[in-house]
Amino acid sequence: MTQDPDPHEALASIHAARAEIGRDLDYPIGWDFAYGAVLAALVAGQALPAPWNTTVFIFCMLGFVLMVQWWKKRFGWWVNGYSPRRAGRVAIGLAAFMLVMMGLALWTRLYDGPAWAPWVAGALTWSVAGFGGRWWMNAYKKDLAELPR
Amino acid sequence: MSAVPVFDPLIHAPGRLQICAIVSSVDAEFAMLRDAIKVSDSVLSKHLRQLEEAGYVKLTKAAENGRQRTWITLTGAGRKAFTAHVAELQRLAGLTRPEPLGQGFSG
Repeated sequence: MTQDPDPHEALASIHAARAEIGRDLDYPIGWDFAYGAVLAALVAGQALPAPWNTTVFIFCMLGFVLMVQWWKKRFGWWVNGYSPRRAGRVAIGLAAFMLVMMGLALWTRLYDGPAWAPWVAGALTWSVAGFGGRWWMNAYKKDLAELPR
Repeated sequence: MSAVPVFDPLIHAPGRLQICAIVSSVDAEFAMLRDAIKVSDSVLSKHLRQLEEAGYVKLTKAAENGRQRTWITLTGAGRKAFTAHVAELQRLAGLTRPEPLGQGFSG
């Protein structure tokens, strides 16, 4: 590229630079299992009485921090406040699903719901969050292929 | 909402344009940026210093396994300037569409 790129060259270089972020992004399936497990514990833990629900919450946050540290060390980047279009919609969908599952777990503690509810909520969250994480990453890669707005 | 197109000569330099393109999406570590835009440590440091002086990026040093690592984050001002610059590039590119291959001047 020239020192004073024309608009087409400049836009092409922006595309190329953003594509570098997702290039060779090959992370282990263990990440999906761990991510799903942390969220599942966060959801199912809502059914526990105090102070255990808070204890589980703290451990889940700690687990998430450790996962972020591992990712940053391995790939040298972490998603910032930028709100991509497709990935943003996937994240909102996952968050909404998690809230419903938390409600299911809370039903047991607050309204004497069935004992299986938190287990089902946790299992569903584990599988949906595991797949959802991959889905989010694919959407994020597609967002990176477009220009920021 | 679309940004108001504003050309920013500081961002437009090839290396800095690519740095901003990356840190507009992620917080990046120095080595990752260097490898992504394929420049030397000294060239990247120079670009980062200029962007930092303009208030467009924030550099954070963090110790990790006895090594000092530098993380680069785009600031609010940097995001606004970069988005406006991209909008201007798109506007200019729209005015000067490249001729399709085989249909340009010949002879």
